[in-house]
This record gives sequence, C-alpha cells and structure tokens, in this order.
Amino acid sequence: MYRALNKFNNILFKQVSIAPLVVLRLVFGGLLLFSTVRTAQKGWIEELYIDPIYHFGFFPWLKPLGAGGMNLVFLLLGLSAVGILLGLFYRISTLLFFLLFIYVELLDKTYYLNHYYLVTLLTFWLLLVPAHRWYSLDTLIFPNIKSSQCANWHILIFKAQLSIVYFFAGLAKVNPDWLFRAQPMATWLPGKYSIPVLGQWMHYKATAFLLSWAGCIYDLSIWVFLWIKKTRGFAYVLVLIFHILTAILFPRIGMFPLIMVTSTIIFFSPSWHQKVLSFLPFATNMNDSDEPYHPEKKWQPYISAVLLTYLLIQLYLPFRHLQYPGHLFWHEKGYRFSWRVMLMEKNGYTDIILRDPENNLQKEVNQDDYLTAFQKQQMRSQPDMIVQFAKHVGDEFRNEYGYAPEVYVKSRISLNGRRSQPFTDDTIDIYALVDPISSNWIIPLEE
Amino acid sequence: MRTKGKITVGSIFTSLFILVAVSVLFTACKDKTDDDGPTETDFTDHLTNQINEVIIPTMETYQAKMLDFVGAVESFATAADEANLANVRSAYQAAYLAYQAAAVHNYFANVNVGLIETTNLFPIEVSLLENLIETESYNFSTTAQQRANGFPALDYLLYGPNDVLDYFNTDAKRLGFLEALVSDMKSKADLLVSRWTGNLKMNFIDNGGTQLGSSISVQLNESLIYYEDHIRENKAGIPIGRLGPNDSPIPADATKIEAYYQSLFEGNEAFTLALLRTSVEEMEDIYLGETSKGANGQGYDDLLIAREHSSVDEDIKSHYQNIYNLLANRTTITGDEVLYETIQTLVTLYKSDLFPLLNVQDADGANDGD
Repeated sequence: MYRALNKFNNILFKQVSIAPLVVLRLVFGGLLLFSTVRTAQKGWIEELYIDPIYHFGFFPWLKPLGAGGMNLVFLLLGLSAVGILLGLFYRISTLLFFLLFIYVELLDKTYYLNHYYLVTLLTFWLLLVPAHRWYSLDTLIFPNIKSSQCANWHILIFKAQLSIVYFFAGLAKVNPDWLFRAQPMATWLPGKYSIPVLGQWMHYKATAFLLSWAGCIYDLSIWVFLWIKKTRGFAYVLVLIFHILTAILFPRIGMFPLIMVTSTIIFFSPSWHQKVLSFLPFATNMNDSDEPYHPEKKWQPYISAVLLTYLLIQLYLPFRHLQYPGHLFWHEKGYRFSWRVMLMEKNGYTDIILRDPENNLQKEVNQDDYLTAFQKQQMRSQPDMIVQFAKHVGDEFRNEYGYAPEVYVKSRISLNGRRSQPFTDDTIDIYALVDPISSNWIIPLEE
Repeated sequence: MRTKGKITVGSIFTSLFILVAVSVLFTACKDKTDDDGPTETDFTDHLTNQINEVIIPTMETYQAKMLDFVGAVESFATAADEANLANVRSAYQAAYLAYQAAAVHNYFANVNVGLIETTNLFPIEVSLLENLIETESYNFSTTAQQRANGFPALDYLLYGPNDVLDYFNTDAKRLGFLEALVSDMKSKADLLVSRWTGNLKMNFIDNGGTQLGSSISVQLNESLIYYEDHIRENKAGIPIGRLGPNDSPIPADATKIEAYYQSLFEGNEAFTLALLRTSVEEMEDIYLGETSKGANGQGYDDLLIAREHSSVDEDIKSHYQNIYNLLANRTTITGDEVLYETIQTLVTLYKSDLFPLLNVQDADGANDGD
C-alpha cells in the first residue's frame, strides 16, 4: 500500500517540461477572452443578466449586480482573461476570472451549460498550477519564477479532467433512448436538411442511429486513444472531425467544440509543445535554459490528497442520481454537473396556478410577467426550477395579502419523441410542501 | 509485446467502427422508405397550401367584408335611418367574424400592419372614445387610441347608445368618426392583402424547415401565442376570472367580454360566442390546412400522420370538437371554468405534443445550448 502510494507520488511529482501547460494557458486564455467578448458582443450580458426580472439563482441570496455592475463583471472577466493569456499577474488574474465566472454561472440555472462547468473546473486548476513560469509577462517582471519544468500532476490533472468529461459523456449515452431509438438525434437531425452536402442524409433514421452510436463510442473511447502515444495523432484527427461535425450540426452548442478541440492538445508530447512555443515571437529555446521547478516537498501529501479527493468527487457526481428512483431524464434529480450533453428533447407546457383560498379565486400565473421566453422554456420541465418559481410567486402573494396562497402546477411534458404525459400532480399544493424535491409531486414516467 | 500492443489498440478501433458501419447498414436497409410524401423536409407543399389556401383567402375575405362594410356605412352617412342601420350592423358583424379568422395569423404582414392593436383591443374606454369624437383628434394608428379603436369602438357606437339613430343624427362628428374609422380599417385590410400576396408569398414558401424563424415555426408559434393571449385570455380567461394582473387573482367580470354592447342590446351573448368560435375554427383550419373551399389540404395533421403520430392528430381534432360542443351548449362566456380549461388544454396539446413531435421550438434561448 505504502509502496503504491509512493509510486503514485513519484508519478505526480516527477519533473516534466512545462511546455504543454504554457501552451494550454495561451490557448485557454485566448478562448476565455474570445468567449467573454462574444458574450458581450451578442448582447447577452443585457439579455441574460440585466433585463430579466426574475432569476433562478443556485442560491437565493445571489443576485445580479444591475447594469453597471454586470458590465463591470464582464469587463473584469475580459481583463483577467487577458492576464491569463499574457501570464500577467497570473495568479490574481486567474483567481479573479475563476471567482467572477462562478458568480455569473450561479446567477441563473436557466443558463447552466456543461461546458461552462468545464471552464470553471479548468480555470480552478489553472489557478493552482504554475502555467505562468514560462513565456509570460510575469517572468519579465519576476525573473526568478522562470522555469522550464513543472510537476507532472500540473499536466496530468487536465488530462484526467478531460478524460472524465469524455468518459461520462459517453456513459450517459448508454441508455435505451440514445442507442435503440436514436433519440433525440432522430428528432433533431431532420431539421438540418439545408446543411450543405450532409443535409440530404439528415432525414434518414439510419443517420440518426449512425451519429448516436458513433458519438457514444467516440466519447467512451477517444480519451484512451489520446493517452496512448501511438494512437494520439489519429485520435486527434477524430477529435477534430467529431467536434467540427457537432459544430456544424448543432451551432447552438456554441463554444463547446472549440473548448474541446483546443484543450485536448494538452495530450500531445512535451516536444510537440516545445516546438509550438518555439514558433512564437520572443520565444527562447527551452533546452538551453534549464531552470528546474522546486516545489516544497512538505506540500506533496496535501496535494496528493486534494487531487485524490477531487477525482473521487468527479467520479461520484455523475452517479449521484442513482439515489433517486425513477427515470433520470424525467425528474432530473442529479442531472447537472455530470457531463450529460445533448441527451434530451424535453418539451411541453407547465401552468402555475395561484389560488387565493380566502376568496376562493384562482388564476394562471402569467409567466411572461416574470420570465423571459428562454427562462420559461427551461423551467417548464425542470422540477427544481418549477418549485423555485412557484415559491417566489407564492411569497409575493403572501407579502401583499398577509396570508399564504396555494400554488398548483399543471404540466404535461414529452420526452425524446414520446407522447406527452402528466408531469406533476396538480392536486398537491407546492407552496405548502417543505421539501418538494424529495416528495412525490412528480408523476413517474410511464414507458 | 510491443507489436502485439500496437495491434490490439488498432484492432479495437477498427472493430468499433466496423460495428458502427454494420449497424448503420442494418438500419439503413430498414428505414429507406422514409423519404416520400409529407416527410419531406423543406415543406414546400405544406407552405404553399398554407399561404394559397388558408392565409390569403382569409385575408381576402376580410378585405371583401370590410369593403361591404364601408359601403353600408356610406349609405348610412347619407341617410341614418333604421334600414341603413340594420345594413351597417349586419355588415359590421360579417366583417367582425372575418376579422377573427384574419387575426389568428398574427405573424409577418399582420404584425407589420399592426392589425390586432388597432382593431380589436377590448374592453374600450368609453370616455376616451367620446372625447376623441368630440375633439375630432383621432388618429387610429396611435397607441393612445388603442382603447377606443376598431371593432370594440364600433360595438359601442352601433349598440351602446340608447337610441343609436338619435346618437348619430344629433352630432355629425359621430358619423364622421364612424366613417373615418371604418375607412381606416378597410385600408389596413387592403394592406394585408397586398402584403400577403406580394413578395411575402414566395418568401413564406421558401422559408422551409422547422427551426426557429422558419415559416412553420413562426406560423405555429405566433398563432398559438395569439390563441393564448387573445382567445384564451382576452375572450375567455379575463371575463371568467381566471387571469389577473401579476400575483392577484381577479373575480369574474362579464363586462369584459368581446362585443359587450351588442350582448346588452340583444340580451344574449350569441354573437360573442360566435366570434370566439370563429377564431378557434381558424386555428383548426391552420392545423388541417383546410382550404377556403373547405377541402382538406396538406396541414399539420398530415405531418403528424406521416410521422406515425396519428393518435396525437386524433386527440387534437377531437379537442377542437370539444371546444365547439362546449360553445354550442353555452349561452354566456362567463359561468363555470370548464370553457377556460378546455380552451387551455389545446395549448398544452400543441406545446407538449405537436411542437416536439414536429421538432418546432417555442423559444430562442439567447444563449448556447447544453
């Protein structure tokens, strides 16, 4: 046991070339900058964080800062991304980006995206690794931090993280809807008929099956082939093909293909990265200057412990849904933070009915008074968001009239090409429920 | 050992892709018959039928009825007597019914023309209307006049006063207003027809697919939004008392029904119910692709059937029948909430079955997906 641990330690703290980490910093920093500018340029700061009246915060106390504040947040996000890219006040820049990005992500569940979650995690690790010790402005300001080497774990953690993303994205596709009904691909693809060349194949069910199976096999296995030196080149070609294809077919997934295509280059060999670095302006030859990296040994056990704990959490999260009975896609308990990407086409209609028990009056809450079309669309099939909104509307009533209303949810939802079914028990007053998530107001999916 | 490892990795990869290729071939053979008839993905036939047989005829009917109405009002202006009043009223009713069908198509040209806001926001504000007439300061395109415009204003003018002939004969400004209003409404109807039969017609047909912004997506979404806001809410929900501002429920209020003054005058809500029925019928015409001659052209029902969802089609059709049956057995809009619930259920059927099965989204997430 001790020997195994020792061996594990040796692997983690082995000195390796810093080149892959530096290239990752450059590429990822550039990506963060691009993503921030893109968000601002598309008007999303206003549309997503300033204009909406109500937000489905992950924490009720967390609120957007208003127009000035939110614009400032995104300005700082952009500046800190520049800091990461240039390696300028790197730790501060990365910490700032990390905190602000988390803040923005936690503001509204409506906008939850797996790849934003990935960005958060990758930024967290960028914060902890010395990606600024080579080819950065920091090395000009503080020359003594310059180092051509880093610990092996500084690079391994990113490879492990990306492997986890692929593996669990693949594992999530191992389900009857995906494999045997080719859903939701069979629903989505026919709409892509106008795509050049490929469009003519999109309405065949066979195409949906092909892409479903290929996607599943790709996700489950590609990371293995990226680890193995001999298959790496071919695997990366597949990475390119896969993500370019998804970008063409599903432009709505936005930054995701770009993130994966760029971050997976961390799998390439140090010599490949050194070559890349040598092409950059002001590059110095890495082999000639050999400043090793000497981290303090006493930290090593703690670092190992943190890494192990992190990986265990990452392995646990995608399985946490097993504690909730029923169909995961239906109740969505334990769905987020698990690399479940593009698995569902869930649609329907959800009415929130507010009842004034004292005057025996009831009405359908006009959701447009509170929510944007996008928020409405996301809420209607996600129970935790329904509860959150129902409680909010109920609270408003209680604040105004001094007594509690009753709130009922009447909903029909269709999942992955099935006919719609009643989603919620509309005889249960949600406002009175103490713990709606664990209660049985969600009617189980009938196959 | 090394060589062996190399072969293993390679062979895993190869076998995986052979597996995929085989499964593809297998399914390809099975499903090749998919691409005939209404499963076509650009929907040219469907859209051609919608524009030529459903939308344009509806607009032309409204235009024709408005033309009749203008004629009746002109005669009434020369002699405001019983006979001419009767003609005006019957032309008004015909135009109002034709409007109900036209208004359901609340997208593209209709939105550009601003049809609903200027033609049928009810209830009206009588004091605002009287003031506009008195000061002759009306401008039918302004938002300031939204609550004294269109058919609801006509409803008041033609049925509201105790003695309608006396009302018009004592003040020429009132006749002036009537003529100006009807002529303005007629010019909007003309504009509708010219827009729908112009460039829009081909653009509508060429705008295929079901993605957001496609003709199908726009037609289904916008007509359903009209159904929700104007049929479910304004015509039924508000008078029945199932809707209200923000978080406060409101009691039922029979004064908020459509064609309110006529219902008082006639002592029944038959016309109000007929207006509601006509608007629901146009929703069904869109669904069925039913032509102006009553023939069943290619509609959304055919798209569902082609995708082997005829049970959804049957549910939707029978639900339209439920609404008609309910309206036939009803003498007032207000009363029990069954009418509201039944109207509402159609929205649920559309949103939770029709839309997803046809892969029509109902909102544009202003963000990336997944």
